[in-house]
Amino acid sequence: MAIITKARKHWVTVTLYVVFSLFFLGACFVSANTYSAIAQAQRDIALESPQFDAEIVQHGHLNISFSVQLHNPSRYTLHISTLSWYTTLVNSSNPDERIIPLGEDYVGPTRYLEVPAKSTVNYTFWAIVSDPVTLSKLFGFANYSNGLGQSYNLETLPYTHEFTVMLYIGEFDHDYDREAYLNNLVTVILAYSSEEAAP
Amino acid sequence: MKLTRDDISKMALVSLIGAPPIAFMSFDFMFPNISTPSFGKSLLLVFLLSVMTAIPSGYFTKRTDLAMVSVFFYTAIGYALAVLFYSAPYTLYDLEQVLSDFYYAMFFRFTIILLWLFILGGFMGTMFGQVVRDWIRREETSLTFAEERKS
Repeated sequence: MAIITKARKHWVTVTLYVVFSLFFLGACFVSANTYSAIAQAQRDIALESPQFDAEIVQHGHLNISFSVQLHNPSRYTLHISTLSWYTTLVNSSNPDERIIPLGEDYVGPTRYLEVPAKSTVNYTFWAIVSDPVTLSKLFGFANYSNGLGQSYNLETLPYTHEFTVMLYIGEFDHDYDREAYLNNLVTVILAYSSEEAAP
Repeated sequence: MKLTRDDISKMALVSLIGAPPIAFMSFDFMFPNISTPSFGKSLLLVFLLSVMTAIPSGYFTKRTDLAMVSVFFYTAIGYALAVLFYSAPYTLYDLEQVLSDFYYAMFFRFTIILLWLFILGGFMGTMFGQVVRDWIRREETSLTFAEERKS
């Protein structure tokens, strides 16, 4: 064919053109593969096995604890931007102080916490409630509930646990001012609330 | 003018080889933070690469109209390829897609401006390719005549 003869005649130019084209075809496959891996990571990264407990420790203080596993099956390291946990007791019978705060923890981006690729990390938090005013509120709630037929003590009160973690996938840029979808693409936000039961 | 078989095969070849850069530029413009390498949404780089992509079209095709039609063809094929790569997580990896209309509308909304650059850059590249080809032929001809005169 004439076209093959012509291609042979201009073999340097044709080869350069084909290499140029193949380079971009390869770049397309690599980029699409990265995109797919990120989309899978967005789907598969999850919080697992949340557990919480309350126990009376020395001097009648109350230790409220919470633990949760962060499962990262993706091939990317996750960088924790913010991580927060707080525990409260919701007292619906008191309109003035409906929520009794009991403990909290917060980790910001400057701690540089990471979740390695294909791993599961366990996070445990606890708060010691030793303030007599707060303890008296808890006792008051338990006694009030007992009067209504609910049998509670400090260890069995329905404490709520709220846990939120915001992570960045890999080393991808996530500081765009206008294109928020690019930030969202590589950002994972997971939340657990004991009131909503499942993570 | 008549379209020969040679013209069609040349246009087809140019359209196939010219499509990947267009596909990559469209995909990269959508996701500059995850694509490798990345032009970082630089329209100037996109334009320059569009010109480069079209140079062979003008270089290998004598007829300007066919060279320019090739630009339309490879832009269309490249853009279709970009949509395929854009949908890869949902077609290849069986991820569940919510609001698929919105998903694809977003791609067209973000990359529509590039189509103008691909076509404009493509036409300029085509003309540049023809100028280069004519210049090379002129040089070859003058060298041939110079050798003949010597001998």
